[in-house]
Amino acid sequence: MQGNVLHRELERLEASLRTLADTVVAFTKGAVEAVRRRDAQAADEVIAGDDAVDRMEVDFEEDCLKILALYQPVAVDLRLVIAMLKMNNDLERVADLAVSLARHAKALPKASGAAIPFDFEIMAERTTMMLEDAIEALFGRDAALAESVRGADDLVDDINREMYDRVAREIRKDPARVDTLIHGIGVSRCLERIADLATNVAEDVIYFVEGRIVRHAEARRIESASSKLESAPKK
Amino acid sequence: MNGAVAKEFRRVDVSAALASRPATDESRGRQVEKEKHPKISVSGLSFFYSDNQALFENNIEIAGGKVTAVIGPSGCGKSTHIRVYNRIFELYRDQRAEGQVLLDGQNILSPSVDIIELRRRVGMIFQKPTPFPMSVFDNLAYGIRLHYKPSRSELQGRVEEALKSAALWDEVKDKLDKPGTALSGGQQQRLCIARAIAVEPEVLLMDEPTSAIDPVATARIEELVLELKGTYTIVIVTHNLQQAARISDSTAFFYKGYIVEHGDTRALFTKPKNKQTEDYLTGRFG
Repeated sequence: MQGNVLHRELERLEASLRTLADTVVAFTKGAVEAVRRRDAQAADEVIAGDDAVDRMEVDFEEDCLKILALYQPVAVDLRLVIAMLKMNNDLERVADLAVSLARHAKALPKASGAAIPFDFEIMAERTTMMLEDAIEALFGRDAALAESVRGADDLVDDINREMYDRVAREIRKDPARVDTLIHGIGVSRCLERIADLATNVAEDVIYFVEGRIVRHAEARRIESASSKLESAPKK
Repeated sequence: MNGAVAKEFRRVDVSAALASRPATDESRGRQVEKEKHPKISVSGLSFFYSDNQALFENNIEIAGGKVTAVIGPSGCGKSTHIRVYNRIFELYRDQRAEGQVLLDGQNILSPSVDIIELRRRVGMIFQKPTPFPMSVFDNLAYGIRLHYKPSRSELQGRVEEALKSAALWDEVKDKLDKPGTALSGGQQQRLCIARAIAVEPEVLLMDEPTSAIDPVATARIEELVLELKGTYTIVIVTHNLQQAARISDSTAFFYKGYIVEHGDTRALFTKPKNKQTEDYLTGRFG
């Protein structure tokens, strides 16, 4: 029976994704640290590592396609391969965003008074935690943890939105700081996108564990309710 | 962007595109539900080979005009189950079925049922092609003559129509007088399907119809099954899970004589409800 061979291949695939995920988390933390300490050397290490992540992503995708073609998995095995294929793509994009963060870190001035106008520490901590939890949810088959990641995204979105108002106020107050402030927008935007991608990963975990597609669930619920209303007999 | 392309681009109507997009899973599910008219309704079906019970209280509804796949490990009762639908098991001694199998509401296990008529209405195709040792033409003419006593021209018309329906006409029209056994394995199997179709059945039972033929011939049979559904209710036993996933609307999983799970094929192959089904589909047993 192909089951045992397939399951060995899936274990190998999961181990590869773990390596990629650990690398991407390390990149994200490295980039956050580079922003926090305005550390150009740490930023360069992240930037230099991006090619390796790109290669890992392509290799992983080829392995997934090979498994789909050779074993045609179904049920939970199919959901695992599909979820990992999508996560692979999302993790590579997280790595790209970590590189962008690192570039902002190099561009931000070191001088005192060059603080970026939003709660960077909370946003960075929340974002990295979401990313780590989403990955842990996959390897722990933990849909509840994945759900908590989805819930955590709102705070990051709020900080990002608030940051735009603050930057506008700061620019009016001190136009000389415009470069710093624009890089601040970049940092905030990168963190917000990483949190979004962590949410995507969490949603793929829920699909894998429970077979439920939760993406756009609210929009689909409203559409379904509207069509029920339309088809209801008119009084 | 040149002018022609720009004009073409502007013509896209987003609302119309959204309105014409494929149905969502949920609405497709509703559609499947709407189209489900049980052609065959089985309740409390048990089956015995002498004292050995092979099926236990099977309950299932087979939707009309759809393809139902029957899957499960060897010896789980798949073939035994479908062999009840046209009572072909009665050709063997010491085999008996208990329970109820309704074909359009009529219990086919009732002693008053006309067996010849039942087997016309419920045709069967076996694992190995079984052409009669006669010409291609006579393979089909035999059943037509038995059931309809047609005129010569009517007979020829029916034979041609059945061979066309089985996608075999173009390949055999110049060798209708050649032995059916001289055809390739895949052609022989389509000949058997044509033979079943020739007597205008309502249900086609297929017991592993592609397990003895090559992949190209298998693909032709699968295409044929998809073409025939709608006109006929098809029940196909298969060990090829991908085949079940490709061609069936619903799938029933059998294990040790029980129907463990029966439902929409796409749902069963992506998110089976039962742990045993999932373990079988993913190769954890069987």
